Amino acid sequence: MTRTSYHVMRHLIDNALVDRSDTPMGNVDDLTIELRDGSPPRITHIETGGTAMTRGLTWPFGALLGALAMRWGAGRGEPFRVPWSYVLDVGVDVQVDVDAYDTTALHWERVLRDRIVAYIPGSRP
Amino acid sequence: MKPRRLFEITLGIITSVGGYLDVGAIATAAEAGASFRFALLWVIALGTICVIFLVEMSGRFAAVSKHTIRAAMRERLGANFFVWTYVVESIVHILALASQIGGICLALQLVTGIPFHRWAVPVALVVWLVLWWGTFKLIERWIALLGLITISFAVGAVRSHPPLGAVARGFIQWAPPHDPASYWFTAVSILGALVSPYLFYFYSSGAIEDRWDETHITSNRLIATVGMGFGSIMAMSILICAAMVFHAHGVGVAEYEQIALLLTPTLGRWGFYLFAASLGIACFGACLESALTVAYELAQGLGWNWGESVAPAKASRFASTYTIAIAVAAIPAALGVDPLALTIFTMALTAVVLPAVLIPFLTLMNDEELLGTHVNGRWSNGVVLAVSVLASVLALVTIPLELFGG
Repeated sequence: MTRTSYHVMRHLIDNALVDRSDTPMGNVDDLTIELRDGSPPRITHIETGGTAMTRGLTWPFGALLGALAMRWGAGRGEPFRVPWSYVLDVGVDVQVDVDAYDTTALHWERVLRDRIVAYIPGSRP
Repeated sequence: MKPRRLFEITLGIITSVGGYLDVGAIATAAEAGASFRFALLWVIALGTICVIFLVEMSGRFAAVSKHTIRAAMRERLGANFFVWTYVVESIVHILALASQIGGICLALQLVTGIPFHRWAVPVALVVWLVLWWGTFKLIERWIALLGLITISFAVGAVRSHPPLGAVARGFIQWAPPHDPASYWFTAVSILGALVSPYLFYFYSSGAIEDRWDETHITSNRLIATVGMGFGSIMAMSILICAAMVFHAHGVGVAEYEQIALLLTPTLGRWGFYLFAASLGIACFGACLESALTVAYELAQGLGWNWGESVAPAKASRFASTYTIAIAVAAIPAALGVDPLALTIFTMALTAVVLPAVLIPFLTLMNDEELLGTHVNGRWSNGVVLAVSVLASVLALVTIPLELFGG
């Protein structure tokens, strides 16, 4: 990392999230912060996915997409959380030290691929 | 300059010429020439200047910031902004896609005599197949190369021997010769057709797919200026052909059987087939671009894996998005909705939403954190802002007049 301090709104929230091999896995939709007695607050997790994203949307999309995320989202209303200690780099994207395909962040990507796309000829190189 | 870079620039220029014309540009330019002779040539010039600035900006943005436009908008302006603008823009893109599909169907009807609505499903299928199996390079090189057939419009315009003085006056006379409401409505449709939002999203996503960096800034400027400049010559040629063929004989081009005769007086029987081929190919290229744009924007804003050169299994949400867009956009043509009427309506609607699309893009282009010293200059900001606001205000005034004023 070249910088040592970042602005939450400017550099983190809504920035693209990629895994260790640069596979896109959503956006930084929200952050969880831990308040501690006697020491400064600390970012504990990055949250990503429909549930976290729709939290901030206004009517009508907040209610509409929020209900969809609650019903059909991989976490059934729980966003996918990445511990802050997994963050590798903050720049054009926020890179985290996980394999996206092992997480629920790519749940629908996998479902679409395995149940529909894979059966259509020409879907693989 | 290295030979490889020279090849890239030439290719880029050819692609831009091929990408400039679509059903919107063909229909609105023909309408303008048939109804107002040369009096709307200046609007094509104005629209082209705006497009040159926009295309140059979107290439520069990709090369310097390495961000896609949509991802950067999401980051700077938030998720709420993204969802709202995506909904509005995808309606415009899908209507544009539907118009292009209609344009291809029309070209096929002209050649085969089989009614256009029967072509909707096969055309949609072929467009989808090219996207599913093809790569970005395929679209960029071959489809764009085929697009050079639209040069036949320039040949037609030259052979129609237009009065040069009158043509030149078309660039400086900014007033309607008659029927002001219809004149300004046509002007708005031309602006909506030329400044197509899908064009610059497509161009910048292409620059990211081709991994442009700061060494591409000069070639990008050349490609945008020369490519779009040549493209506009084709649009002006259509207007001139229509003025010489239709306006001279007092014929309108509201019916597509008429518009097909654009090149017949100057190029004979070949002219008929060249027109059909030009229309079909220009629309086919635009179909691919607008279908991809619907998917590019969603994938980039939501952080999905994306790319036309990525196999569908590796970007299944992206591939599913353009599949659905094509299926939905094929419906109007399949139901027999008149492609020309749909096109003119879509172009006017595009003009209305232009500021909503372009002003957020301008805010990105002035962000020093993204572009460093390559932020926009005064001219780029001024021209794009002025043209988009002008188009939108004119559209809001003239659309009700055109619809209800008789």
